[in-house]
Amino acid sequence: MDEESFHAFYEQTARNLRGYLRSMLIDPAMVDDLLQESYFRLFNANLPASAEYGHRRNYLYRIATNLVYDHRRARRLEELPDDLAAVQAPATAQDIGRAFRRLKPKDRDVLWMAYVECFSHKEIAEVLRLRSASIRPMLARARARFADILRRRNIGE
Amino acid sequence: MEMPTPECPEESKISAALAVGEIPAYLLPHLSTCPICAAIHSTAMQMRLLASHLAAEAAPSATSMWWRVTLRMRREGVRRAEKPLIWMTRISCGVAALTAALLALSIPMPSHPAAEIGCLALSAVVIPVSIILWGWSRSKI
Repeated sequence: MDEESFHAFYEQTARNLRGYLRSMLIDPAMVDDLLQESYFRLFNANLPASAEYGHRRNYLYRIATNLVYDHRRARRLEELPDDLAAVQAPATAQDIGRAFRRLKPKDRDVLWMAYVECFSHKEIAEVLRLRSASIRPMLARARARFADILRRRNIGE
Repeated sequence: MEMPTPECPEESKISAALAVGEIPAYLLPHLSTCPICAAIHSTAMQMRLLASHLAAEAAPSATSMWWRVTLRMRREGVRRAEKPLIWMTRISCGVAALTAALLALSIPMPSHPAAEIGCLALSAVVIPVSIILWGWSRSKI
């Protein structure tokens, strides 16, 4: 990957990937470390220059997901505090963030990939190394749990 | 045995429309009556609100990330290139220590006090130097 194509790919993916990492981890410094590590590993993987954008993006997410899980394992499942972000934000976004952080990591993964990245079920299955057929019920359960947490916190749907 | 999750035949159309960013008019009446599709739509909207909130935090620039990634690649390259040298150093340290030990065993112990002191002084230098080199080569891995 040359500098120009790296820049283009980074511009397309970094914001959402950082958002994903931010939603999974507490420490903003760790978020940027894992972001850098993800791009480093992608770069190091030497994917063929002809690799499609979607393939690169899925590969990047697979790396990031593994890094998050390794990090959580190393930190013995750090529990996520309620204050999702130190940055100021509209109350609803923060409330949604708080509810989101109450979900299990796998639920957060599938919801983020399905509704932020708009990955297909097949793509989610590839990233998470699961069977494609299991994604739809996983998503349904994650949605239900998310709605339940929001409801209990009186956050409108 | 898990309960099968309820399914709606329009689910995939709603998901596709959400990916595009616009719900076509013909799906709107369905969306207002189907709880499954309404839940999908509502979750997607909440997730996007959350994503846009999180994306507001500044990510490192592409230039800085390129610089960091390539710098790290170079460091990794140097580390990989150094590895055989470090192993060579370790092996030579080991061979030198072995040779010194064999020589010490093969040479009859001199009876003259000055020669004894010389041998002891030599050992006092060779042994710590070997240990230091060994330690240094380990720290480089």
